Amino acid sequence: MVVEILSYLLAGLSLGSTYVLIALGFTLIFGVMGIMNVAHADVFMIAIFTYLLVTSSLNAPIGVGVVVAIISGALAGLVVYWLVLKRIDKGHPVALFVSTLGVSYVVENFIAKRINFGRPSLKPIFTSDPIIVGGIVFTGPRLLLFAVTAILAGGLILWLKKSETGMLLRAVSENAVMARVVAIDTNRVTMIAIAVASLVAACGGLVVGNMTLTADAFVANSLSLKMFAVAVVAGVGSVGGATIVGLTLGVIEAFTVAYVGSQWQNVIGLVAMTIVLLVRPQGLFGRVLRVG
Amino acid sequence: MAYNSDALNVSGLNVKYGVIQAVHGMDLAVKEGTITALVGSNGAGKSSALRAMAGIIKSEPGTVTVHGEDISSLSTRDRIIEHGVVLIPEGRSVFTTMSVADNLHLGARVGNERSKHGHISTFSTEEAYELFPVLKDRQNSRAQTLSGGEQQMLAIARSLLMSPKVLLIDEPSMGLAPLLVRKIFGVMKDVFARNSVSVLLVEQDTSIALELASDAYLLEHGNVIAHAPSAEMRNDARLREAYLGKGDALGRSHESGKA
Repeated sequence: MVVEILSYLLAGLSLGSTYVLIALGFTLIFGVMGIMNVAHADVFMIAIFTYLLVTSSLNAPIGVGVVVAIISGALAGLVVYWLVLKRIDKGHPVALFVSTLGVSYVVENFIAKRINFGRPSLKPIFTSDPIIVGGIVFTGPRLLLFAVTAILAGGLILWLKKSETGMLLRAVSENAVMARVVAIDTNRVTMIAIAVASLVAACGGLVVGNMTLTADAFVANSLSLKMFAVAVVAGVGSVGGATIVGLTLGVIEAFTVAYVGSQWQNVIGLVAMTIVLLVRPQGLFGRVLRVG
Repeated sequence: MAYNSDALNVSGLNVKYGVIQAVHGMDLAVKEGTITALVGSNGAGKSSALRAMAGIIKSEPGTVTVHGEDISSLSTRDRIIEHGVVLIPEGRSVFTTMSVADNLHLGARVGNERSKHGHISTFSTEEAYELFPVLKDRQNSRAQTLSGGEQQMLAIARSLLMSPKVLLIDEPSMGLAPLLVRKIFGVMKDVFARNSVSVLLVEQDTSIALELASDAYLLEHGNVIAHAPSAEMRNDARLREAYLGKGDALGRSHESGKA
């Protein structure tokens, strides 16, 4: 019984880590730009497919595939910024929302078509023999996912809190107009935020791909819904909040699947989002509603 | 050498929000080392004009020059870094989720960047703490825990650390006791003089503005309707009637303006 519950907990944390790795960047970009960038989840997928291309089609070593995939992910985020986000008037949030949705559809279907709507397999990045502690199984890929999530979420929180650039980013997030008043180069800060956000999502794509070992062009579809729910429940812009809420959502979903039924898995996040929005519109960890 | 150039000169400044025009062809000058007031009732276009000068909102057409150099096409950031045009927006214009020390640091880093461009200021964080000891006591507190007056001190100290040459101050008296405003400006006058800072002060509280400034402009419905030394403006019956005492500000000042 205890072993069973702990196994579900572990599965939930694993699912939650995936959500965290995507929601962190989404919430960071929202903080700085005030934009719901739906296409952010596609960086996750682009990293997986870049890795596939480099390691399988080009037969390059795994390490090269990992590095190229992470860099491509970061670049993909910046390209979406240059081509779309930067050019649309921030005064029209719906236009921005819809255009990022459009980018998402185009990219996903373009890649799906290139692979004839298949689901090619990936070469593993890291595997090991499972470690069994008291009946609970820890697999290598899952441990890698936990380690990467801990390092990236912890690193991001520390970076925002302690570094000079992190301070500028927080300033732009709190009040973009005031940030211009103190001569902060908001364009540069925005690009840094997008590069970092995309880098985190790309790492997420790789460590999750290392578990599933398949490349799915539409993986972002279900993930973007969760990314949305996590960011809204946490309070958009709150990186620490997104980490806590993302992990919690994963755990709740795992127990829902185990004890209620898998058809309820995707409902629970939306229910939580609705309730939180009714009770606390700024989210659980949101300090202030954004200005500017 | 442009001996006679004003610290700030604005000519034909227009600000539009869609079809609504907030400022109509404003001409204004701030003489080197002085405090000039821009007064007028709520909604007269004072803040819009100030924000346009700082480059926060667009002004078309219109020219803004600082010490004779045209800055109209520059970004807010370049106006600050290259020309020391620093805005203190109205209200509690601090980063509320950040500590007092971090707020000051955001100002000091601009001062450092400006010194690399050859604009050295003598104002340091230590001096800011000396001028406003309460900021030193609260340096590790979040700015949102400060009182309104303390937040205004923080905003002013932060802007002084940016080594300003032209300081654009929007409604410093908002929500503050007049006594406190006088005290803050009393403290700052010396800093302005030592660093040759020229000030354009936007104020709704006309009496306090005319007391602090040497020169004043009166703005109504986006038009400059009067310009005179403060002392003269104080004695102007029309202005007194419209802004310092009772009376119908809109109708009467227009009538007497034509007369």
